[in-house]
Amino acid sequence: MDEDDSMVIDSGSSSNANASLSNEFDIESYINSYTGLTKILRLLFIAEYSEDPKLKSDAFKMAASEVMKTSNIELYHNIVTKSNGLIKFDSQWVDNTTKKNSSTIDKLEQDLNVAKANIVKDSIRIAQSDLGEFYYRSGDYSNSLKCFVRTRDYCTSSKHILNMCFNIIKVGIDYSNYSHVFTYTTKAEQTPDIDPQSIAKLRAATGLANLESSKYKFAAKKFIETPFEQNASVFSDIISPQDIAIYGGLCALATFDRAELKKKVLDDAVFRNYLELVPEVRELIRDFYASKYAPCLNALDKLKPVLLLDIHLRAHVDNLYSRIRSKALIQYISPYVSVDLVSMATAFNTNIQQLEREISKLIMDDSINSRIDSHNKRLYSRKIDQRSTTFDKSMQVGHDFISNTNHLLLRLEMLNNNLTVNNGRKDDKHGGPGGPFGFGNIPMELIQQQQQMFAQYQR
Amino acid sequence: MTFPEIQKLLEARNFAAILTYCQDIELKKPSNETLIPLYGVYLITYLIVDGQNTNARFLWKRIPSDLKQKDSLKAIYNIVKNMTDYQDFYKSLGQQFPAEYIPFIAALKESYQLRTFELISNSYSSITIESTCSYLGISADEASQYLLARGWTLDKQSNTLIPTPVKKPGAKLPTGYSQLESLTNSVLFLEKAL
Amino acid sequence: MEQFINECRNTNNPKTLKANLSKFEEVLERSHQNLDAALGHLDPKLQSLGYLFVLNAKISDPNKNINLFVGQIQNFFLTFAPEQIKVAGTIVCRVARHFTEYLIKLKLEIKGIAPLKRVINSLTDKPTQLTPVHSDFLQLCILSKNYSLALPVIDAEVNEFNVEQTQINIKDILTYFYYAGIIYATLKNYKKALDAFKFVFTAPATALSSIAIEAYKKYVLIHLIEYGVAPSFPRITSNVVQRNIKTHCKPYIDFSTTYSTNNQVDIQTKALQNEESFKRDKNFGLVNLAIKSITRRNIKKLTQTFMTLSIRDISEKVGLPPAKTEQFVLKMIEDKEIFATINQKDGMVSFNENPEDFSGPQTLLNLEKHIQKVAQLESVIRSVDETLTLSTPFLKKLLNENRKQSMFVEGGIEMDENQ
Repeated sequence: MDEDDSMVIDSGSSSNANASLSNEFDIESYINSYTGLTKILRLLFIAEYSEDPKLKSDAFKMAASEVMKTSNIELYHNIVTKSNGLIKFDSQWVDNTTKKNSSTIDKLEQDLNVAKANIVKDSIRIAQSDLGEFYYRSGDYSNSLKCFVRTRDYCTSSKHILNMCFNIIKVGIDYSNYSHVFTYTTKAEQTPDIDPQSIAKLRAATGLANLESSKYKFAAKKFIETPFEQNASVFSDIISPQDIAIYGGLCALATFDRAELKKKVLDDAVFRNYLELVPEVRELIRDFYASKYAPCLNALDKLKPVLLLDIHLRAHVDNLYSRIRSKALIQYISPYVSVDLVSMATAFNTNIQQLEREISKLIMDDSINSRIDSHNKRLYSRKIDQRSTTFDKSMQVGHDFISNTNHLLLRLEMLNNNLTVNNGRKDDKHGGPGGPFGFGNIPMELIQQQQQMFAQYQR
Repeated sequence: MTFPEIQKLLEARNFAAILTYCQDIELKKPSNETLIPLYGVYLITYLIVDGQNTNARFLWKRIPSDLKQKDSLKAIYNIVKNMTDYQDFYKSLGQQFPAEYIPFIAALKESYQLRTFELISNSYSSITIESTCSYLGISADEASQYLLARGWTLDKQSNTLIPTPVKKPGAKLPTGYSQLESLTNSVLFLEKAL
Repeated sequence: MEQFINECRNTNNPKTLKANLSKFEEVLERSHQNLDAALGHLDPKLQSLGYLFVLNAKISDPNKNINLFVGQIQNFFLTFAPEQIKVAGTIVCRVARHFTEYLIKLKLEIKGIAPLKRVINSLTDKPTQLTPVHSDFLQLCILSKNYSLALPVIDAEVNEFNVEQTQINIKDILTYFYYAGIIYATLKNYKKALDAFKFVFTAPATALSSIAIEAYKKYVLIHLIEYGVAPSFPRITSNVVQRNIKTHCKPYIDFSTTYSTNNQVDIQTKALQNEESFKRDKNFGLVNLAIKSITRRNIKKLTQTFMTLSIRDISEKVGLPPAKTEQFVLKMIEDKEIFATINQKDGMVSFNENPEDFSGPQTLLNLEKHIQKVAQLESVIRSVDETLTLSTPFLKKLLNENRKQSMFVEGGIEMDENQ
């Protein structure tokens, strides 16, 4: 494994606290996996959410230096403001860039007009696309999206279409508009003669969009289906290969059953390559599969501070973790008739009160069929007496049947005799109620009497 | 007692019949006057027969309001209200009552005690002597006698009582020709349905 | 008048007599001042039909002594000969309706219970038949607070009525079920109350009635008490009701939505927010019962999760004061809502499974009762089916269908020929 290419996590360290993360988390090697806007956005994200002061300032500094390589003035302002004085505002850079930007836009628009005047489809597409790319780099989301979408009419080959789709997907991901990502990944996948690299990029993007929409199972599938790509720069403006391993691995852990976990994750020849990049994740999935829950959960806990600094994962970490934990609990309990809660608490690195609470939640939502003996601190699987339940059910069905049939018979007779609630306009020989609110006053006087009784019943 | 029929039924301890009798009078007698001396008995009998106060409460609402001011009726209504609280219930039984109510009050106490005894026998696996006394409205001395005679045991270490569950006699298995006939009918019905 | 009395005395066949007496109706209506005298000449038991006709005519007398009239009807209803009045169902029902109204006016509702019960029994061949008097009877039971007396009538599960005999109308049917629902709810038989209210708003309808709205309001609240979740519409609910009813019970829909979140504080707040409309509808008591039922339901849930739990934990989990928890649990055991034993020595409660094992004589008896009911229903359905298949409208429809079919076939052949 290439040391530089991975997130380096010192597994020997005893501290999990985010506050001293800078010792364990090598931000430089982490961020070198990315290019483009996502690189700056990720740095800014780390800077914003890190509780480690050194990491925070490093991230801000790196974000600022990265953004100054671009023309994105808005993002620069954003970083400076958020850094709370850490980054000195460089007015000269801003002035220069502003000037440069306006002249670039003039030039690009001119190019576009020339191309339009000459009515050469491909030149229009290129000019439009260049303008879009420029808007994207300088942080004008809506204009860049507009330009990219406009290239659509000038695409003449599947390569052009793919290009257009990737541009829109990129904008969609960086500006969190995932509905565009869904639309254009689907569109791109339908283009003929698609190359493996593009497939990899598309799968990764779809996985990401599913993850962000909390569709973890789909996300896991997409990440796992991503063809392995030696050349990470293929999708480095979206995601890193390590991310694919982590996102895919965690989503799979949270949603796959044991068989799927083995077949589609651990034994999958392609995804294994990704997992090799992040051995911690591979190990914790193995531990989970081998029912070694304590090391698995420990490893997850250790990973957590880093994952919380991930721009895409942070919002989902707690959700994914609690699903994984519930699954572990269920799997732990499943083979036993009775379980000692004390040893189970040890296995799950928790105390008994906490464990009881977790288990009762699982019982409530029918995930497990057991009952807790809180006195002796044991969990017993519940024997369902099939005979009694069947009797109970059939008695109930019988009751309902009789009541329903009686009501239906009465309805039938009412219909046969034209006795229905109507608005009284039709001449009803039996004297209809007369008007939709025909007997409003009848029940009311009774209800009045009624109320006192219900009131008195509140003992 | 102005109602010889009730006296007779009381001697036979047939409270369900007394209740029917009172209901009959309430529904059929042309005026309320006849009922006045009966309301007290009527209320208590509801409690004895139903084992709860729902119907007695409705009866109280049917009693003319000027009658509700009578002390003897008020005392009985006190019992009705306290039916759900064991301690208050026994307390309200200790009020002053006219002589004609005394046998009914005694019968109510007895049936209430019996029902509560069955309930706690089946609902507790261990219970303190104080709780038992308050449930049954008896003193500690009475309690140990009453309970030990009914198969309860005393756990000396914790000084708690261990009740013996009371089994309710189930319905008898129907036998004989009537059973055979209904079985035949069921089979016939099923065959016809096919 | 004398002629009338002679007719009453001399004709024995009730049907002939009724036909003959009908001719006198106008005469009777015109001679209000002589009616009491006529009643004096008639024996309610022997000349029931004649007596009934006179009572009926007396309804329109503006100067009658109401107390006396009520007494006359009461006495008549308790003594008439059933086979005689059976042929004049419509008139009996009319007299019974007015009798009920007078009693309510005089606040003597209880006096009508026994008489109307007898009227119902005499008019019907079996307890499953519904008459207009049913609704009057229930109304009197409710107003006089004799709820349990209504049970034998409403437990009979009506499934038919006789329009020719009683001229029953939709209002009679719906109010009957509405009142039955109220009685069941009062006696806390919530399942049956739901069934009854459900009938009211699912009855065949081309318009929304206010009784349907009132029934639906109660239905929603009782559904919360019994099941803890908001109800959905039964499939047979007519479109016009499904579409429009909710706009008329907004506070109830709001409350039930909040209720489903199981957040006690929110539910309380929502109840108080809408207190005014609930109180106006006289449903605030039901709302409070719904709120109270949360604790019971939570304890029930605990029994599914735990085998043993300390009293202290229970009170913490359901938010009851510890001192009250034990009593609460005991009450639930008594009501057979949970199966548990309390251990005071350790302060623990052990929750047991339902000890009912569905074996033994009681189960057999229950089953048999059910099978019998179903068998009876089956024969009813068979006869309904037979009447329907033999009815003129059905046969006409069948004939039309056949004709359409044959026309279609012929048309097809013609087209073939054209090709």
